[in-house]
Amino acid sequence: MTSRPREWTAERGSRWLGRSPPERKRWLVTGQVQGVGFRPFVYRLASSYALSGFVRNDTLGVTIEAQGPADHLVRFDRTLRKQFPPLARIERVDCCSIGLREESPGFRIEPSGEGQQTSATVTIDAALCADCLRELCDPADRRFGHGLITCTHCGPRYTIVRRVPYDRSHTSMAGFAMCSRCQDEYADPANRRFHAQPIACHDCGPRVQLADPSGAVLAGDPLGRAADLLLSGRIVAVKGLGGFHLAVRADVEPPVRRLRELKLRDTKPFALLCRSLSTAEHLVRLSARAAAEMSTPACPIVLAPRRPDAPVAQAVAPGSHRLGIMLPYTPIQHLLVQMLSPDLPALVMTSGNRAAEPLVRDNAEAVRRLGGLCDAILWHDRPIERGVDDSVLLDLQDGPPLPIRRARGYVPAALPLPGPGADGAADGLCLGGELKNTVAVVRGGQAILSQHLGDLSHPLAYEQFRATIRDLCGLFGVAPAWIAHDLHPLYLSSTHARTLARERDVPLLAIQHHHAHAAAVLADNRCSEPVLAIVCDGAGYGTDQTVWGGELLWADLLDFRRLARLRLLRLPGGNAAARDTRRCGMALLYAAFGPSFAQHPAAARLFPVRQEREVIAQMIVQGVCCVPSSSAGRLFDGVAALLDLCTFNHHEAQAACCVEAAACVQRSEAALQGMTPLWRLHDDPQGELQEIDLAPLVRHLVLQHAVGADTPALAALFHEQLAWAWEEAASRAMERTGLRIVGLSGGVFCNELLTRRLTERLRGRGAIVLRHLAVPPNDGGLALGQAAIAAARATAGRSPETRHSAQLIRSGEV
Amino acid sequence: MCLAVPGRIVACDADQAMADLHGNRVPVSILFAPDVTVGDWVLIHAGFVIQRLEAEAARRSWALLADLVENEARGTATGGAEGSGP
Repeated sequence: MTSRPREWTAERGSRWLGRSPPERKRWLVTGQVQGVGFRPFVYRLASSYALSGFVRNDTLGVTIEAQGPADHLVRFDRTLRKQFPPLARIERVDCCSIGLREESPGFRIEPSGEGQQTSATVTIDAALCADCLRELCDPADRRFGHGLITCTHCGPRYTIVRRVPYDRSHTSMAGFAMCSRCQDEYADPANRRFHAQPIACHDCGPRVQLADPSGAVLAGDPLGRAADLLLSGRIVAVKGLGGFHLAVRADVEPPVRRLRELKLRDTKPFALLCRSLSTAEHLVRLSARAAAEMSTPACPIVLAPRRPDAPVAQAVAPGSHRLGIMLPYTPIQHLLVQMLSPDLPALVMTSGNRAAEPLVRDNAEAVRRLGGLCDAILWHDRPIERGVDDSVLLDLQDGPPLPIRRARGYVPAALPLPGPGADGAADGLCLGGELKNTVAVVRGGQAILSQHLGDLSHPLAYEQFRATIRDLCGLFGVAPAWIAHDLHPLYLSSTHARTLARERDVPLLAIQHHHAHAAAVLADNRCSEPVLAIVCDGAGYGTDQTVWGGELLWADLLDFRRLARLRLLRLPGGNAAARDTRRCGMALLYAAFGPSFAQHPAAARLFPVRQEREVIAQMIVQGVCCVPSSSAGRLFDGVAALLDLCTFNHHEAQAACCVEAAACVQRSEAALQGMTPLWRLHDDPQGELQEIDLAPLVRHLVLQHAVGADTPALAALFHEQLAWAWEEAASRAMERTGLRIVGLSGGVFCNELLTRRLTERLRGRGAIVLRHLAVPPNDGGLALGQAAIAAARATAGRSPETRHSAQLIRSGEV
Repeated sequence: MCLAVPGRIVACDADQAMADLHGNRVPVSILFAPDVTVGDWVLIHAGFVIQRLEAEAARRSWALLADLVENEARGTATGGAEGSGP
């Protein structure tokens, strides 16, 4: 280490500890380092290198001072940066040398300084760790078979905390006094359970019980009996981290169908719980990245292409070429899958609720709302403080898995907002959109997004939305100085924003839907540059009295301009067309064949009853009750109807998923060889806004379908042509603006095939493509985009309410 | 003489990135440095990021490059920038 000759002096001799002279260093570690077992980790590490000094939590993160031989300090530093605890996320490690100090030998954990307010430390709920799993399965361990085993590195956090600071008495474990043995572990810095708030054991903790649907507790081994019921094809409600699941065996048809009927769930796929990654590989083709993500503490559901021979009932995911799979993440789930026979491939593990309702989380509520949907309830008496769904990721061939629903395991981890000085923005609140709603609080240059809250038009979801706003503000100590919401004046989130703004007397900031999407993909990539953004989704309130949904924007975090859009469709009946895809089909026929389209045989296929057909046709031709829209989502709907793939959206994006699934059956690229463009790019008279006209493509699809052409080939052609049209529009915009970065956002980019093809094409044109990483492309990511825009405008010296008057609705007066 | 110049990453794709070079936006390949992220200072040579830099090293390099340009202008080019390529 040192090149100086080792001189033996009296002064140094007394302190000579290793091969090199002693030094003292100070580290400041920032990121998610509190409440994740970081101090005990540092304690053990420092002790192993025989260093003296201390570690403590403070406002900025964790401060460490360590003294000892220089080479030990170097190795300590190296290990510190590499092997931190599983739940910690390190943003920065700053290190400096300081003067030696006289201190007693040994390392210690210091309490946080008096009067020092530590930042609120609510972390994610984490899947059972390997150490706890080993203890759970070890008959010699005192927690053998304990259904709520946990330690510093795993278990519930966000779902049990009532208020901050995160401390046992402030969690739903408050009612359970620790036994002396748990207490000893809790107090021992060398123990894995040092300061782990939710620890318990057979002697002192909550208990697992099996109850019948009326709530009467059944005698006997609860897990064994539950496993027997599941094996015999019964439905069991199982309490998890953020709510109840409904479980049933996945390999036989009738039980899965029964669950569908009871849950009032049409064809939306069910998630599967697999014993291990190797069993999962028998059901789906998993990328290495997705497999790695499934094994993290977040333990999400991953949607991956199903193997043709997957031994799974058809009713699990009818019509889908994918299956959603996850690994067990609670001790109860681990014990259950172990008790099932090895040849049972998986359990259906779907959220415990009726269709469209929020998750059930309370035991009494489970009896009330799930009693009629199951044959038994496997629960415990540790209350769940907030309902948090499983997170869902989509496995991609050409990149990291894409978030589709962000909830358990990812929330409430903070997301940094891009741009210089974003941390200087005042605290605020973003209320997101309407469907797939999430809300966010902004604090210190970071956005903390809520879990997926769902469709606000459902009364229970709306109630949860309002509760979550209070909850996040409380947990993270945010008193919003501004409130951002969607430009749509009638979204329930916008209405609520106006109410809150009046109550708290703070300014409102209305943000255009697709600008928020563009900003979300920027923030997700920590980018604050001006970019081109292709935003494709179902619907968003435009600035020109039309409904937007297929837009090419020039956008940065402050502002945006529309450069191109899909040609407007006249959607008969507005929202009715979002469900009845045949109406979108009629709108496409009108655009493709003109006013006489109702005479086309394709129209008669969509609406065989003549009167009905003529009414719809008249509505479109005369523009009565029609919403003009550039929606890409409705384009997919219309194509689904015209290709006889799906005529009704029972759930959001069902028809679009059918078109994608059909296209994915198409294996050969032959159908796409020698393709000519079936789209046109029109300039509007001002030359500002380009229009993508897909009429030739629609004509081609309709005519080929009528003569019996292969549907998968047509679906694949549709994807390819759409990607090509966007590529061309983006490429012209790149020339016009000189910009090279292209962001992709909006729910339509949950379509793996379209995203992959468009990305490839754009990269071929020299574009740098930004896609979503931490938040979903759908409306679940809107709150992040709103946060990024609001923070950027605040730091650009603009008052949130004075600029962008065109987009700002003076809604405070409404 | 071929130079490697320092820049800062402002956007990142799979193996392409956009770098800021004193206010200019230059697309660069990150094939040889796949771990770079937005905000990193990097050394760019012939359109390729060849390594990550400490912010301080990047600032020193820019100062040296500025010197070099100045010397060049006076016709007495003698200096070389840190991180000169082959």
